[in-house]
Amino acid sequence: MVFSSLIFLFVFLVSNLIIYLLIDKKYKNKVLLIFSLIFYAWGGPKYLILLVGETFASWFFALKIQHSKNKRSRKLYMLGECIVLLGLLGYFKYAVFFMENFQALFGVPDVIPNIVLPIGISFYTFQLLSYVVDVYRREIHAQPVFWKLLLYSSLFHQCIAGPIVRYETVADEIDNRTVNQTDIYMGVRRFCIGLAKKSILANSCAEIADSLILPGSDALASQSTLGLWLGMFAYMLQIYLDFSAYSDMAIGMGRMVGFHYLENFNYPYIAKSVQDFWRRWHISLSTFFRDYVYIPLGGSRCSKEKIIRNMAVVWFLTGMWHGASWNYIFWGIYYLIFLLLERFVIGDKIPGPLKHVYTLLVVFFGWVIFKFESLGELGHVLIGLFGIGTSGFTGMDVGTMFLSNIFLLLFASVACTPLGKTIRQILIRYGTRNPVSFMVFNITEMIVPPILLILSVLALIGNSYNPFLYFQF
Amino acid sequence: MKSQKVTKKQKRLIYMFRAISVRIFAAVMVIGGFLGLLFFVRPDTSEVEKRTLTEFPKPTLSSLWNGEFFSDLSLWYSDTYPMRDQLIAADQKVESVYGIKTSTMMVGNQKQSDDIPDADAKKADSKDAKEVEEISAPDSRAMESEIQNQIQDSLYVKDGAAYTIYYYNQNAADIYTSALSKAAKELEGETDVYSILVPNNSGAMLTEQELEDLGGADQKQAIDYYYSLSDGCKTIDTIDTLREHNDEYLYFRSDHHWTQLAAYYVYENFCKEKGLEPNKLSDFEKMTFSPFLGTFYQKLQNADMAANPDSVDAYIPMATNDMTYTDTDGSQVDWHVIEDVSTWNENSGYSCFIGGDKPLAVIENPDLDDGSSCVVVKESYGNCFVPFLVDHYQTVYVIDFRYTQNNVMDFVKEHKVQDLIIMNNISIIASEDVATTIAGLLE
Repeated sequence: MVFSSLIFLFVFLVSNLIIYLLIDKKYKNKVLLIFSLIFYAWGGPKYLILLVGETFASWFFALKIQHSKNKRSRKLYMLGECIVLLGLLGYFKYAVFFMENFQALFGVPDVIPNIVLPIGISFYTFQLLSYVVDVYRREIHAQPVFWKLLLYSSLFHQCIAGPIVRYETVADEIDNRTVNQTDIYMGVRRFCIGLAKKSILANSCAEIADSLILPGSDALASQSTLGLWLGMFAYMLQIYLDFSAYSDMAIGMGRMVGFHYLENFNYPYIAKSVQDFWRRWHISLSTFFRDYVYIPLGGSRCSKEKIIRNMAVVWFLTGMWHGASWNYIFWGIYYLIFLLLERFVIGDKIPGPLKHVYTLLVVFFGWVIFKFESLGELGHVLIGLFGIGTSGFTGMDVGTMFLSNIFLLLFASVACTPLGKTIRQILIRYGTRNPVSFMVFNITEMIVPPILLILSVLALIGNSYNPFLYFQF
Repeated sequence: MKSQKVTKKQKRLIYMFRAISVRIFAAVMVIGGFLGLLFFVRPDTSEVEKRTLTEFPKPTLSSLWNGEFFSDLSLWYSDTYPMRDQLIAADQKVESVYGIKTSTMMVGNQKQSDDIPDADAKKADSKDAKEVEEISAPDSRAMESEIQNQIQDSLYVKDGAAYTIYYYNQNAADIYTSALSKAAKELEGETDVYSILVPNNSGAMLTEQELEDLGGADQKQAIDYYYSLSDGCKTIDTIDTLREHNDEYLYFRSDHHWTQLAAYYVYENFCKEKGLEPNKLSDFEKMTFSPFLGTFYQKLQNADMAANPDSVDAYIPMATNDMTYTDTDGSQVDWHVIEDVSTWNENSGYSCFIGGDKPLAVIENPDLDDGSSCVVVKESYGNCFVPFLVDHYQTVYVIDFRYTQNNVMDFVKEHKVQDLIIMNNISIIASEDVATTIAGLLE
């Protein structure tokens, strides 16, 4: 099930919230668990076995690690956990990719099996891994009750699209959490903002990107240079608005019931350097790699050669995590190069305002690499953006597309900046002295969430508008 | 810092407004959930989109296990949500503020067009019938969407009228023309095969300069090329005549079809080729259906079109207005060549001709008993052309290639038909799927 669907909103979430609200406190976690399992099973009950199985393994290994006296057996159990979880992730996510490359090089195997990627496996695998590693490092206590760990790994707020919530963030809140009025309001608001970002802005940007950037090299060649730029610009907006919207909705729904997940995005497109961008983008993934890969390898407190090695490992893995295809690996290496350049060559030499331009350009071309799994198409677009091999500089369809979405694109761009947040802060700051500003603040506080909800519902229904015009009436 | 400055009274107010907000949120969610439960008011068809909405999925063990059932259920839930058409209309109002709609614009995807070989060069660079890439015929639903793509994917909109841009496809041209020449050869001496290719509105109505700016392929060149390859077929001029008359009302602005007036000019050319005396347009009894807002309007919801809707003029054959058609379920229905659709909704105007698109329609002319007959193989462009043929044949058979299972060659031989008229819009047959389907019926 996806958050941005009517059935999720009006059937799943409504019944979840009503039952959660009415039921006795001691059953609240069980309600969440049952709903989470249904939510996950929606994408195919067979994958539930995988989620439950991985959770069971992690539960078992974590308890074993905690109860082991000697170092060796702790290590062995930790190794067991890694083998099981990374093995399953490797099988489901990367086996086909490795076999394809192997086949291309050596001609075997003849037949590559069709392995379907289970929903959310990259997210919950990392969550469970971080849990067991933290137990191993004695940073947290292992969860003795299996179903509570299952609640952590399967919780529908974050199970399939992040953020990657650390067990320590929610460990206490699983058993003791309180919800006050502010939590509920903030949760509702955050959820509505996320829903609107996804169903209104991201979906519309996706429509623009999809109609300008068509699959297939022939189709790409018939696009104009400006068409490619506009399409990729819309894609750049889409990917942030879409991804951060899921995090917003997760944080919002968590807050409504008393969970405080950490922020996953911090306005990445206002970053002043590539390094700054990665501190603001998908924070839960970056910190995962920082804490479980980079620092254990020695981090930055070692020789230059080792720093480069450590960063290379992290960025290779970051690329790989995003998908089993070469372009994601290139994408990781691409960022590695810029991060190394910033660290060892560029330093702070770029003048003020140009920093933003430089960062956005690097990120923009990063998304080009990210978007195309077919290297032929990727090449086409990369040179096409410089005017080579396109149908011309611009075309009428590009003009129409731009004009008929100009306000949407502007709004979506503003939604990537903290402008809304700033205005809200200004209103309340003046509001304490100025009654007009205070009323404006209150009224916007009141109407923004429901208006966003209603507009999102309209957009979701509008999405199903498909004038499949039968020529027979 | 903020909390230090806010007074207790202000804090209470803030809480009050937030509490109201949460209540409105809850109310919208509960109302939405409740509406969703009212399964008996869920629509099963969409008036606006002219389609059957998603049906409630049937659970099977495997569809439950692999999750297919649940994704279908989600689709069903949103696709048949109560008051869907009204909510979609509301959403379109919202979306109208996304940007500026200019009176001249280009909607949809530009495609890549193959180069049209010179008509004189002919066979030299055209592939042999056998070399043509084999493509399996699609089912009729897939073909519907293919046809829609062909004709509606890239639209040029100007002053409240939409124009289809034409893209040429070499393989489709090869499949189509080789099927027609093969049919003509097989029926030689028994039945005359006529090929009539109708340009779409851009090719007939727009200036040379506009066409050049828009890109796509040249329709005149394409039609000439198709005709040059259709050995043994009698070909009827369309585009030159239509362009001569293009200050008249030849195509609808809000719909992808041509008007019956345009079909009349092609009918005159047909009569000339066949040596017949065409009926005068002014001698027909005329019906008018207005307002008409067709397929382009459904897709674009263009305000200029709504402000200046089309009207459909239909001319009743002199000999008879009666016909019968066989529906897709095999039932026989008595109908009218020109049906009065004035009480139907405003996007049905073009449905007045020969009952729309049916697997088979038969029109018997009571004034003739010479045994003359013709078969028209067509898509919806043929609908408004057929009424003019009624007065010249004892029997007119009409086969819509999209819905029939009958082999046309067998049908022609069995009924000893004199003329086989294959009439299509040039855009539609640029689809390999469509060309393959027609070729299959002519085997």
